[in-house]
Amino acid sequence: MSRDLNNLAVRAARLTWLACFGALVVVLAVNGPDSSFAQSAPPSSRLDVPTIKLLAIGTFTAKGTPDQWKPLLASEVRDTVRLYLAGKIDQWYLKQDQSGVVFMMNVTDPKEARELLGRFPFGQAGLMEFEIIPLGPIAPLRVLLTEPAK
Amino acid sequence: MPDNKNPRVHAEMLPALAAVVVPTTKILAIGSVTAKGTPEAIAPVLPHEVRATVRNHLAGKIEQWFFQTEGYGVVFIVNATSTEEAHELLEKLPLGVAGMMEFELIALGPLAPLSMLIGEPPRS
Repeated sequence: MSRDLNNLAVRAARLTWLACFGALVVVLAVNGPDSSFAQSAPPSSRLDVPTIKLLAIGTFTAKGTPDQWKPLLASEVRDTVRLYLAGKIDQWYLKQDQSGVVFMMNVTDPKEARELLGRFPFGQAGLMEFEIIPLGPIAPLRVLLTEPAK
Repeated sequence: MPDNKNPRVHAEMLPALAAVVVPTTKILAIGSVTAKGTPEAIAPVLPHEVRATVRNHLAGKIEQWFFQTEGYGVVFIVNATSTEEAHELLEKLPLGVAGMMEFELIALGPLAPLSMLIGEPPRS
C-alpha cells in the first residue's frame, strides 16, 4: 500500500518537475533571460508559484571601506527604519561576517527593490550592492497533496 | 540627511556601535541544485526531501521556507546559532545526501546599527 503511494508520489513529482522544467524552457525561449520572467510566466505548472517576497543580500563593494561608510551609517540606519515603517522591509539582519546586511522585503518586483535600496546613502555612494533573489511559497509542498490512500 | 544636522551625533554613536556585539540568531541557507541534480535525478527523491523538510519545520529548526521563483532552488531561514549547526541539519536532507543540492550558509544576527538610534531620548 505505502509502496504504491510512494510510486504515485514519485510519478506526480516527476510530472510536476518536468512540467516546471518545460515551462521554464518555453518562458526562457519567449522572453530571453530576463530577470522578471517568473512574474510574466503563466501559471502553467504545479511547481509554479507567485513571487511573494524578495531576499536582498547587501554586500559592501571594494569602495565600501569603514572610513567611507562610517560617516553615512547614521543616515543609512534611519533610511532602513523608514523603509521598514513603510512596510517594504519585512525582516532585517546583519551578516555576522560584517560584510553587509540581509533584508526580507515585501516587494515582488526586483526593479522596485533595487530602486528603493539604491536611494540609501550607501547605495548612492556606491558602497553597497544588493543581490536580489525572488521568493515564492515552498512549491514542492504540493507533493504532499496527493490523495491519501483509502 | 535632514535628521542628522548635528555632525557630532554619529561621532558619539560610533564607539557605542563598536561595543554592540550581536549574537548569531539565524542562518540563511540558500539551496541550489548541483550539476548532478537533473530533473530526472531529483524527481524520485523529491517526496522524501519534502517530508524531511517538513519534519525539520515541525521540529522548529527550519523556521521559514521559500522556493526561488527564478531558477530551481530554495531559501530557508534556519534557527541555528552557527553555520556548522545548520550544515549538519541540511546535509542530512535526501537531496544533500545524494549530492544534488548545495547550501550557501550565511550567519545572521540582529541589525546592530539600530543601536545608533537608542542613545538618550531628546530633551523636550
